[in-house]
Amino acid sequence: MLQNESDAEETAQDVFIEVHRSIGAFRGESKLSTWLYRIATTKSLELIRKNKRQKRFAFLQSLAGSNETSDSLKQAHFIHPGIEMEQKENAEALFQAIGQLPETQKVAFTLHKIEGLAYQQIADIMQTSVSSVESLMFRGRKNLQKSLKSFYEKNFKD
Amino acid sequence: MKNENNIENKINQALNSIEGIESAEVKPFFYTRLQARMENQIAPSYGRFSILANLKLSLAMLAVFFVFNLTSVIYLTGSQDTDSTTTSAIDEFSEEYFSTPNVYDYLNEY
Repeated sequence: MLQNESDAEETAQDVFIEVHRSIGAFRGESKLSTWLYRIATTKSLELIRKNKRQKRFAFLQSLAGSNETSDSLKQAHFIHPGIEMEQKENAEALFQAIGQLPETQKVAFTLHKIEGLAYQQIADIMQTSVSSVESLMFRGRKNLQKSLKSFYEKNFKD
Repeated sequence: MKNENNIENKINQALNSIEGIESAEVKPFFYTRLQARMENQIAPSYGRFSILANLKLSLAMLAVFFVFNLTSVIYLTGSQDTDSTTTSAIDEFSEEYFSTPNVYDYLNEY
C-alpha cells in the first residue's frame, strides 16, 4: 500500500509501538489479526496523507525555486518484492495504478488481492459491511482498468 | 483495432500479475531496529515521573512522607509548651536592650 520500502518499515515499527501502547484497550470483540490489520491500515493511510501533504509543500517549494525532495516522495518505480520475476513489468504498471486509487478502494483492493483476505474480514477491518467492500472492489477494479488503459495508450503512442 | 486488443491484453495481464504474490519480507535486523526505537520512544515516555511509574516505590515514598508529616505534627504540638519560655527570653532581651532607661540620657542633662 505504501509502495516504498523505508516507509513500509517505518510503518511496521509504528504498528508494533502502537500495539504495545494500546494492547490494554483491546477488548477482544474482534480477532487479534483484524485489530492488527486495522492499526496497520490506519498507520499506512496516515503516512500516505503525510506524504501527500509533503508533496504539495514540495511543489510549492519548487515554485519558489527549491529542488529538495525527500526519498519517501520518490515513488516512481515500485516493484513489490513478492512479485514473480516474469510479472514485474506488468505489476509495476498495476502498482502505479493502485497508488492513484481513492483511499478506501486502495485499502479494500490491497487487503483482498495482495494480503488475500476474505471480504468479511476486510469489512471487519474497515468497519463496514460486506456489500460495501464488494462495491469498493468493483469500483476499484474499474478505476484500475481506466488508469491502466490511459497508461498503456500513452506508452504505445510513445 | 489491433492496438486496442493489445491494450486490452496488457490491462488484463497487469491485473493478473499479482496472482500468486508473496508477502514482502522485512529487511535484516528489523527487530533490532524496532527494539532500539521502542527503548527510545516508550521508556522515556514516563519522563521525569518515571519513578512514580513504579507502584511499590511510590507506596514506600508515600509511607515515608506520612511518617515525616506525623513526626512534624507531634514535634510541633509538643513544642507549643516551650513557646512561653521562648517568649520570656525575647521579653528579657527586649527589656535588656530597649526598656532600660536610655544610657545616653545623661548627655541631655548638660
